[in-house]
Amino acid sequence: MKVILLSSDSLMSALLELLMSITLKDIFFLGLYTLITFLLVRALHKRLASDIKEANRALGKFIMEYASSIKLLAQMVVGGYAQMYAQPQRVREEEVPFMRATTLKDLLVAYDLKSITIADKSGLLVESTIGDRKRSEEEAALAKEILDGIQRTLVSAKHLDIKVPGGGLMLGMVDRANACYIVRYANDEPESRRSHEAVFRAIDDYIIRKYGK
Amino acid sequence: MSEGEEQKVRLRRMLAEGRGELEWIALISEKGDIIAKAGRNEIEEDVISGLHGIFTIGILPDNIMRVDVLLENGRHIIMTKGKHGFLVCKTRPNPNLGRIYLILRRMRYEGDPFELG
Repeated sequence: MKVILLSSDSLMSALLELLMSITLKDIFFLGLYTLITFLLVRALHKRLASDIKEANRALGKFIMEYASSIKLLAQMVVGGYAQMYAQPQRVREEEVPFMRATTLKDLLVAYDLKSITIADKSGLLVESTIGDRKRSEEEAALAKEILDGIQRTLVSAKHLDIKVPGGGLMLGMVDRANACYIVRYANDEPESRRSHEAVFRAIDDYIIRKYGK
Repeated sequence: MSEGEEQKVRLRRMLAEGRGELEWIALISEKGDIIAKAGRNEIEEDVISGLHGIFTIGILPDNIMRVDVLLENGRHIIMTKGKHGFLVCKTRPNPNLGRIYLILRRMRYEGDPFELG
């Protein structure tokens, strides 16, 4: 115990001697070194942090792209199966009979249409639900002009649906009767394929029965 | 990712959402040039120019939102008009049109630069 005390005394005295020998110059240089070290460490830390951030961003982007392609693949596989199992339902929908109308007015009421105009292939009026003769003739000519325009590039196009806000036009070509027609509807269009095609089929059928060869 | 690539990714996503209902889909500029396309089959460029012609012949009302052409084989070619271009797609025979119209409409709500109707 005594020995330790003695050695601690000598240590204290050595420290005191050292402190006494420190000059202002030494303090200045010590401060300077500390400051330089601090600045260097700080700069290095900043650089490392930005590098890590960038690397993380790139990795995140890669993961997101990878995940989206996996999602696409999964959707394709699931979609394929869904389509396969949905087939019987589709067949049942197609078998729904369409209306066999005796007059154009019946079709107008049955499918909630605005007007139906039938023209021959040269665009001359055949029959219309529009009361005004001049307007009916204009409508017949319009049907021929639009269908001619589309058939110039799409020969197999026989039916056309043009949607405008709050309604639309439906046009059809009936080769068996050498006729075409134009339908205007005012309400929101029937968007399911069944009702869409039902209108076309019902009018085609009417024209073939009445004017067909 | 460039804008063209972004559009292509978007079209691919629409194809996937179609679950086999769509054969191909393309974004067309106002002049009728193809900007981006996606699909299993080759895109018939004459079909696109023909449909583009319908919009530009001047006999139809200016506010057309969509033209749907039913082909003899049961396929549909649908063209939707936007503020700065068109979206054209070809369907498989006898497609589920409700689903297709829904997909085309959805593009509008996902910040579509074409602002399709």
